[in-house]
Amino acid sequence: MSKKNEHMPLDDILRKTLKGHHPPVPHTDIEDMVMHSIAIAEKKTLPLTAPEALKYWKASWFSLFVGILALIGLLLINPDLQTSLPLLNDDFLVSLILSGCLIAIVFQLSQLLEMRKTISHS
Amino acid sequence: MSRKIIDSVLSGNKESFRELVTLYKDGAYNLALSILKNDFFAKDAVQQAFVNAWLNLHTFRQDAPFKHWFHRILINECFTILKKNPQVHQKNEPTFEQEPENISSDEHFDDFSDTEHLRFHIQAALEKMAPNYSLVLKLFYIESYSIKEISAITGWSLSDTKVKLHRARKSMKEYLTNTLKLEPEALYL
Repeated sequence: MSKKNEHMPLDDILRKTLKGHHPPVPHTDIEDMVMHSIAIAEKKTLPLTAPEALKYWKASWFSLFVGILALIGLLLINPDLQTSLPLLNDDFLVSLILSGCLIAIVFQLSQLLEMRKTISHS
Repeated sequence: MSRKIIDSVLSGNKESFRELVTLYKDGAYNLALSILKNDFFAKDAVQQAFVNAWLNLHTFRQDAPFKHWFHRILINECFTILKKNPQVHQKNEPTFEQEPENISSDEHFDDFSDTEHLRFHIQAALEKMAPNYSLVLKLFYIESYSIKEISAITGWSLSDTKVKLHRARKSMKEYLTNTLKLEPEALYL
């Protein structure tokens, strides 16, 4: 058996053998997988389109209206509840529900303002 | 070439991104494999890295090659996966091509010009090495990055990169000397 190279620097061997050598990705269409993931990611990150925003706008106004009606209804049925605000009085559960309603209404209003911006920009 | 494609993607042609994926997928997969040592997780990391690159493409300043920027994203993704799944290495599966014909590991190896034979054993060594060592060897020898570039891509300091590269070479030498049954002085650093 002939010895063609008796001593060899590892650095030379690694350069000669590895430079630019990329074994292909086995059995997968990475391009399709990536483009599919991008389509999903794109949908998640895009802001609402104008028709979508209009739809949510109407739905939000409706739910806000129903929320306020429910609150007024509660107060009319039992006028004593008016005194149960603020929190931490005798009837804690009732005041918790009422406070929750108020927070939901404020949140809904802020959402509506945000959507109004989207609609007016488009 | 990448610059043209990136301009096309940024001007709204989403399908151009597919060309970038085709260009860089093999290199990316092999880099991911050097860290994760697992086919499934490597493909997952490559896919997520491309998605992250696409989402942040508008922040890419074209003063450095796209490859450098993308490899930084990929390596970060791989280390995130590794952190979340420390058991990744245990799910190892064979990933590289089969051993070339007419190669017997019992045979005493003495022909350094037999590139195919050498490449097979070097790839096998890279699969078995610690993630940082195989990563630094691939970045240096396959991707031909300089020490400074490796330091920028990986976030390691310059001296740390040099130390890792030296230790990785040492580890490769030990593996090849044992596997190819070489005389200790046949390979030197």
